[in-house]
Amino acid sequence: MQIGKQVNKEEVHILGKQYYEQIRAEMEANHWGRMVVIDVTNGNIEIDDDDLTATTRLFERNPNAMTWGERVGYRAPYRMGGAFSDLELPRSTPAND
Amino acid sequence: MISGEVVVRGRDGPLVYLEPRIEIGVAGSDGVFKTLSVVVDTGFTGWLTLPPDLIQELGLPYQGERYVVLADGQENRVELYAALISWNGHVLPRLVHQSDSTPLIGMYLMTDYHLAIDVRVGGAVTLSELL
Repeated sequence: MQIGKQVNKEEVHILGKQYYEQIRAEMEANHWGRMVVIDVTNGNIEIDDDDLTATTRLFERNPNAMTWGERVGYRAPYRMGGAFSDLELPRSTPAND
Repeated sequence: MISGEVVVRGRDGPLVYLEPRIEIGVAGSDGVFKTLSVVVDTGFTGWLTLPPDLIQELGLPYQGERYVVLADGQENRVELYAALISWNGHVLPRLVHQSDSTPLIGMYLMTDYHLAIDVRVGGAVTLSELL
């Protein structure tokens, strides 16, 4: 078990991108389309087709992991279609004109 | 099989939009499952989204952050949590995206299921395991 350094939530994406940039070329050459998940507290990396599997492995290695994940070659590992925020819903029925 | 219903979203006035809804259970840190009404969203590629207040109430453990591309093409950073989800008689460890919206279930959670929706008010929503 490798315990990592203390990291604030606000730093997770910054550290994650820094780690990923160091390995991006190798990942894009050998792991296109797979998930690369990085424990930003210690630099551990897991690669799998599936984010859940890779993330679970990182938490087995370090229960205090904080992870950043990239889908190699893609802008983002996930897409969210038409999710309305509750804040966007009308609070009351608009008056008829 | 999981069964649900198409409901109207909106208040007292015209039909605003329809939502296919089912119920799932999500375990809190005390191990007790909370039943949640969730929207079936085939436009979401992940497992489940939950709003921040519910994630806090359930005490879900923080996993990290991921980019999510939204419908307008923008990339957003979204916090990721872990949860045990009660799904068609199975208890599954899955990842939860934090989103300030009605809880959504996405395509990863529905993988290897047949989804059918009768798209009208009160219509049946069914998810059955593919053999």
